Amino acid sequence: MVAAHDAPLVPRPRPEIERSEGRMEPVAATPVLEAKGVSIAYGEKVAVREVSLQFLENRITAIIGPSGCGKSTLLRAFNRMNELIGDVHTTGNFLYRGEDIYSRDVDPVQVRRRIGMVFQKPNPFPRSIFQNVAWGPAINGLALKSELPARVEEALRMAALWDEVKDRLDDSGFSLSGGQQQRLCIARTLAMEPDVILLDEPASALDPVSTAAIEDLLFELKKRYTIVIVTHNMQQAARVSDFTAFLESGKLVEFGETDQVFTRPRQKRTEDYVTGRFG
Amino acid sequence: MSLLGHGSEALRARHRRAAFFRLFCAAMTAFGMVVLVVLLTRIWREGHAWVDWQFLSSFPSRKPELAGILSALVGTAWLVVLTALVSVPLGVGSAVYLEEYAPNNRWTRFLEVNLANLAGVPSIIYGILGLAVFVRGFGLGRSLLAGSLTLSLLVLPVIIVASREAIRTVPASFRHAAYALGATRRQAVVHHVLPAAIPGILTGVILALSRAIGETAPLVVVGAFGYVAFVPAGVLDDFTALPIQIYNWTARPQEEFHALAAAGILVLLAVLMLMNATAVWIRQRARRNRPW
Ligand SMILES: Nc1ncnc2c1ncn2[C@@H]1O[C@H](COP(=O)(O)OP(=O)(O)OP(=O)(O)O)[C@@H](O)[C@H]1O
Ligand SMILES: [Mg+2]
Repeated sequence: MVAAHDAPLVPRPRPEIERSEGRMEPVAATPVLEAKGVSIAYGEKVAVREVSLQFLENRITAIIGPSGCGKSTLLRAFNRMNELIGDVHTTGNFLYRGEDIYSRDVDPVQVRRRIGMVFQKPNPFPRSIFQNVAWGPAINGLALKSELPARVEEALRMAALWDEVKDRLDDSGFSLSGGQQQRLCIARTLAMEPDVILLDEPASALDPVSTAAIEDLLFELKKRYTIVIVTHNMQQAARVSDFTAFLESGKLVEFGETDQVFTRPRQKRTEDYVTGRFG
Repeated sequence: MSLLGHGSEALRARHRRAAFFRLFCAAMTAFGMVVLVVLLTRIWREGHAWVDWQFLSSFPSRKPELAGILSALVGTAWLVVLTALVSVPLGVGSAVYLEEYAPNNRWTRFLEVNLANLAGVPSIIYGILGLAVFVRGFGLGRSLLAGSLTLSLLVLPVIIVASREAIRTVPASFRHAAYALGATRRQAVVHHVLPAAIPGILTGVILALSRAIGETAPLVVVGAFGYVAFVPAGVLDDFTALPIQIYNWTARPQEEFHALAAAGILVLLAVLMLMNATAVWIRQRARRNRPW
């Protein structure tokens, strides 16, 4: 299929968790991110209501739901991106490894370093491929200048892009195809060595081949990262995720293991949605 | 009968009105062009014979055949550089503040409306302000510095508006990408927003400065001299500028001085066209190279 799956994954000291049949035992994992009774409003308009859920370490959690139900809003709240938009009110508790993300003495820059984000539309900087990946570690002082090339290579390898770009690192990030651009954006996030990666419909602008490449990538990445992915694509959610949260009109309708949500949903609305009997 | 054949009388009347409207607009355009061409030819006929090296390298004189615009040309160059040094940091800084930092509240909106209004204030008002504040208040006298500060006030609103426009066209996705990578606001702005906005800002700055070059009224008020027989050596020196020199020559009774004025206008126009062409070139180049 797509190249790069033969790219070696560079090991990193991080507790590996046993995989059984591709899926992990939920009890073995600790919550990395947690939302407790959170509501988010744009001005007067409430977009997320009283949602509580948690994302477990080294698991992929999918957030699904109809357009406008608040998936992106909820996702952005976890790395404090909403406050860049303007008039957004957030209540309830967001915890990162037990620490309140919105506490007064928490620096949003620190939050975003640990909780990376990949956007729906690939958004490389108008810079070279190398600079796109190197910029994050460079401005955050995570690597010496001399260490940057190695770090860039590692990130591009992890994002399964290295083989395609290794001879053209000085070309503009915009010279890549859409799917490659999105993997570049993932590499850029990985180069920060975050703890959690939030992906907002990362494959919605991509063709099936690029989408498959990114899904395969997620399987590799979850060995080292905690992943949250928003998606409109039911098959994608069923394929890649360990847990699924179903949102509707800003409310959490159902949250559980993906198998259960898709095969034995507790709520009628969930069943209607995942079987496609719903907008 | 054909469905698409000739229409009714009413339809034909509509077509006639459409054709007439087109003709009317074309005529209006042509009128403006003709006036411009007539003006330019007259000035060209009158002045071009006088534009030579002697004219460019001499100081003004009582004898038309010895007179030149050296001091005015150098004065204008000084004014442009000093005005840019003052107005670009102020203008771009304000634009960045308003676009990237200012909260979206009533006070900011009040500022924005007034900025737009300031850009429309007659230039002589700025001259009077400059006279009161810089010439008298700060005691700078009738100096290059006072003139440049006055022109800076004049172009500042234009530069701010143009820079904000340029900053606003930078896609929000660059900012979001930068913040998501742990950038501070300064890092996002300095590393990504400003570089992407620079062609637009530069274009705005050049157009604003070319407006300043042609300004006469505020310089007359702050006291540019009509007769300066030396090249200013510092910012506190007396000065003259191209439009002032031209104005001075047109005000004289002798025919030869009117020809000198026409020659001065040709020089001024050449400078302006050069600046505008640079601005257009920067804009085109940026548009072609812009990947997003
Ligand atoms: N910047 C904003 N200002 C005001 N309202 C907003 C803003 N962004 C989103 N909303 C509103 O909040 C609600 C949730 O939006 P959100 O983008 O989170 O939905 P979503 O589930 O991600 O939808 P989609 O699947 O279409 O991306 C919507 O009703 C939307 O209109
Ligand atoms: Mg969304």
